[in-house]
Amino acid sequence: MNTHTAILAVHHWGHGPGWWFLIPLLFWAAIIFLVVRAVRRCGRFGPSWRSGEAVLAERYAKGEIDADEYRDRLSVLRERAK
Amino acid sequence: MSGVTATRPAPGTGGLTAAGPGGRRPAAAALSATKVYGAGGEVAVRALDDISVEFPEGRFTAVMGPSGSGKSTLLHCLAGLDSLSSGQIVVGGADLGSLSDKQLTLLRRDRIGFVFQSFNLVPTLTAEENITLPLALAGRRPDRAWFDEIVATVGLADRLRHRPSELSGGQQQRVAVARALVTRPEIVLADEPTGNLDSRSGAEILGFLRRAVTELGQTVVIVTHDPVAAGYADAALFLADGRLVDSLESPTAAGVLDRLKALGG
Repeated sequence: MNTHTAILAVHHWGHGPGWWFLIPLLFWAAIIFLVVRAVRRCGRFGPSWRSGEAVLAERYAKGEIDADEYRDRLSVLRERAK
Repeated sequence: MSGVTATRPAPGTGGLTAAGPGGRRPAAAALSATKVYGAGGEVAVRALDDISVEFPEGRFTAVMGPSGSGKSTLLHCLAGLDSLSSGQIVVGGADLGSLSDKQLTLLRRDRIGFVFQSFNLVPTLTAEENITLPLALAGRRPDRAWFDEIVATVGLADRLRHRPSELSGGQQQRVAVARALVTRPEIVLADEPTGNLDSRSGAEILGFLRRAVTELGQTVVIVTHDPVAAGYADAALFLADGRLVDSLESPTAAGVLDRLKALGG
C-alpha cells in the first residue's frame, strides 16, 4: 500500500511539470493569432498600407486635405520609410 | 410634402429662419450660423451672416447661390471642416462646437458622408477598398447587405476591382458616392459633385443621390451652381452675401434659373 502511494506520488509529481512546457507554446500561439488578426485588419489593403498612409488616406477622403497635399505628404512618408 | 422652407423675416427681427416638417428631427441644422473671415479688421468678410436652416431627414436639398455667396462655407461648417465665428451647427443631435477634436473626428467618420468635386479617391486602392475605407479605418466590417445595395444602386458591381485610374470620371464619382453612403451616415454632403463631369455622367450621379434619398432613406445636401442639378432635389435654398434669401420646394431647373437671375448669379 505504501509503495503504491509512493509510486502514485512519483507518477503525479514526476510527470506534472511536463505540462509547463506548453505555456511558451500557448504564448506563441496567442502572439501569432494577434499578429495575424492585426495584419488582416490593416493588410486588407496590401503590404504597403502603413498606418501613416491610412491616416493620410482618411484625411483625403474626408476633404481635410486636397489632392496636391495628399500627394505631397504621401511622398514624404514614403521617403522616410525608405 | 413639406420640407426645407425659408421665410423672409419681419422687418427688424433680423435673420432668416427655416424649419423642417413639424415633429421630424432634422439630420442637421444651422442656428444663427455666422462665419467672419479677417475678424475685427476693416477687411472682415461675413461669409455666413446669421443663417438658420434645418435639413430634415430623408430629404434631398440643394444649396445654391452665386460664387462668394457662402454656400461652400456653409457646407464646410456643416461638415465640421470649418468652425463658426458664432452660432451653432448640429448634426444628428450633436452640437459640433461643443465636441472635442476626437469626438468631432469620430462624428465625421461615422455620421457624415462626403462627396467632392475632385472625387478624392485613394489612387492605390481598388474601387471596393476605397468604398470600405471609412469602415476599415474605424475597424468595422462592412455590412455586406448594405454594401451590396449601395454598389447595386450606383451600378458598380463589375468595377469593384478597378483602381481609380482605370475608371472614368463618372465612375470615380460613383465610387465616391458609395464611399459616402457606406457608413449609413446621418447626412451626405456633396460639394459641386458634378462640377468635374460631363452632363451625362453628372445626371447619373444626381440620379444616384436621388435614389439614395428615395430608396435608401438617406439625407443629402449638395452645393451646386447648376440649376439642372437642383432639379433633382426636394428643395433648393438660395444664398447671397452669406444670407439665406430664398427657397423653392420641388424646384425645377427653369424655376431655379429664374431665382438665380434675380439674385444676379
